[in-house]
Amino acid sequence: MPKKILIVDDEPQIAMLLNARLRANGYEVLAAYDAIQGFRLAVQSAPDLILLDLRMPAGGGAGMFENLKNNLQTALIPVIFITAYANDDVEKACRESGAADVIRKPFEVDEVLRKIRRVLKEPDPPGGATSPPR
Amino acid sequence: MSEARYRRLFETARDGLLILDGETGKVLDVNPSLTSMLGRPREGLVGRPFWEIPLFRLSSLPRTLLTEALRDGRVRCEELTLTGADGRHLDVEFLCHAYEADGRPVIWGNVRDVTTRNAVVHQLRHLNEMQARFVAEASHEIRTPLTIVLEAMRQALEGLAGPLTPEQRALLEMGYQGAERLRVVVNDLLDVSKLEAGRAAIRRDAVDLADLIREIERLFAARVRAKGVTLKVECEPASVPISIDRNRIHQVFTNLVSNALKFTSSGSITVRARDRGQEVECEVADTGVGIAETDLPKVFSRYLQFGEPWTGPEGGTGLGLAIAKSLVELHGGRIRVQSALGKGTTFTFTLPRLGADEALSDRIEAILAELRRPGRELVLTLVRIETEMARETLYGALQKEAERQGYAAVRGGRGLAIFQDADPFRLGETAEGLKRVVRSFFFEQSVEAKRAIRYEIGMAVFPRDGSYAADLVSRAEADLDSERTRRLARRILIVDDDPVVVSTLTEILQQLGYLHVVSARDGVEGMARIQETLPALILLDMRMPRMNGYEFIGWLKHNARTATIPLLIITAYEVEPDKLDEEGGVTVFPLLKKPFGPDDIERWVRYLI
Repeated sequence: MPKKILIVDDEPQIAMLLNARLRANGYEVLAAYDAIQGFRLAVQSAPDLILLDLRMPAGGGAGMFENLKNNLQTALIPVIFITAYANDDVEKACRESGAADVIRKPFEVDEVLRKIRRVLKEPDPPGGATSPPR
Repeated sequence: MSEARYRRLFETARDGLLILDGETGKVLDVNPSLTSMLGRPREGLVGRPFWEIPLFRLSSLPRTLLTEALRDGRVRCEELTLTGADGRHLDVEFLCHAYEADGRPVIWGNVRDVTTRNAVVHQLRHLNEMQARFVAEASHEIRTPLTIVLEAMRQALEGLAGPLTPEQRALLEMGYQGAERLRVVVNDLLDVSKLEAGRAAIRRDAVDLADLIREIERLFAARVRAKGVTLKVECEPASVPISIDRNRIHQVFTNLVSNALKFTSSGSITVRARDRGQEVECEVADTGVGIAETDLPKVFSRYLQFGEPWTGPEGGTGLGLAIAKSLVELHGGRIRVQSALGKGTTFTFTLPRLGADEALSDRIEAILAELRRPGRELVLTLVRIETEMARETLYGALQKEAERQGYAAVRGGRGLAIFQDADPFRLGETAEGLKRVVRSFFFEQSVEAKRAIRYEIGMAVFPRDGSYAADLVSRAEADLDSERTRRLARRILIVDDDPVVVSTLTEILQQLGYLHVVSARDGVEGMARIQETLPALILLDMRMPRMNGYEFIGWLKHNARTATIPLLIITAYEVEPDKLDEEGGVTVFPLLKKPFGPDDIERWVRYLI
């Protein structure tokens, strides 16, 4: 059964691109464009993984993360933060706060897929293919 | 005659001068500068008690000035606002002395117009804030669209949107390569911005340089082969362990090798690392076109003017070498270049070993030998500070206090170790006490240094956590790391109705590593946020709709749960002490005036939580 990934990002194009990429790699994808919608979807649809943009307006990213962790239904869903801050301190802080991993923008597709597979405990496909052949 | 001389000075002085009768507070004389500042004639001032003259905006101040001046002999007030008769406001610096003349107490006041000076300082701070905000915003505002462009093109090129005609593919590839180049440039620019602003910090980890160099070799293998050049890698000895920031030194090597590749079309590029004990010497040498002697001094500067067109499609910002230099220097190393036209180029840089983390352990062992006594418990506080100067200053300050306060301090490497006797039942207090001292110290130092000083504190107890220095240091370091995590996990609430301010503050805080930043638009929403989860710190604006800062503070202070939450008031407006007193029972709060910079925020937040 395909794994379900929830993307929460206030930039609809980022969400769309990630959506296309993840679908092409066999994941089922849901998207939300703000923290409120995101949280609601997380509770309703029980995704296997959440990709969460850290910097949504008015602290939405961090707020939603807190809500997820405080809610029994969602506390155990692994979360990967997406951030534009290319800063080691921030990365370490993200991980230490309980996020499963961190993805920096602009993202390397291979890296993104690798991290997702690792968090979902999936084996790497043979040959390390990241996309369907041209 | 001397009377006439002094009279002349009084009349012609540029500062406003004021003479008061120390007993009655009546104005005895004012000079023309002051009457002009006040916009009032001399006759209207002389003979009146000075608190009747609406000199200063906060009316309670003048009376206390008098008593203070008489008591201490001298009072200095900065940043008072003088109100002229025509309603004009001037920023003034007011200084007064009390003395005796003919048996009567007299107070002499000097009023200096600092409006221009303040305006300049204000401007500078504003620019600083803008620059910092730019870097923070740019990170996101530039990287996000760049991400979209790169990813959209990549998906099209990979066929995810369907098959492509050769022409379509060619166009998309052009676009993609352009965006890739842009990404490199953007990273360089943002790096340079951060490095210039002094806001870059390195994190050291145990790294094997030999490993790192081999990785560089792998990274450049294809490109080098394509150009027909050989890439050699040498390491003496085969393994070079050193404590450095892996990513940054990786960047240094990448920049140097890229540079070498740009200017070498035949021959070889050699990357070397030599372990010299106290430091490691690294080299990137090429057999390329070389650099003219007159250009050598400009090599590391930000603005690269060589007058030679780049060969090949590899563009760049020319910032790579400047960045490499900054990164090497952040590690305490040096970089230099040797070259001659037609003879190739060699870049050499050194990475000093701190090594003295071992030194600290040894010194701790030595001190333990002295202090050790049966039944004696000691608290070891480890303070790790990146900047040499701050370490030295703290060490000096501690040495001075050591005898009086009963502690012993040693230093080594990046850390200071402080020993205190511990009452086993009051360990927490002892620990907290010293932490407070250290925090205040760093707060003051940051004010002086005009930038936040980064440090971490960890503790261990002897002999409970170990009887050997190495064990104690391990334990203290683990505590330091988890203390840091706890600190950064604390929740910060921003209460401000201006979304731009909220956004800026959130960016700054998140960049510092504080992830849990939430906001409220006014006191009412603030109360709701607090009911949800108690924050560890509140950043507060004073003027807001529905419930302003004063009322909010009132609510906080009257509520046992919230009364002790540290507050930082951030405001462009004057805060009225009377109102604060009324609502909060206190007249003084940590206050940060706008415009502020990220350093100010860092300094205050670090101090308060």
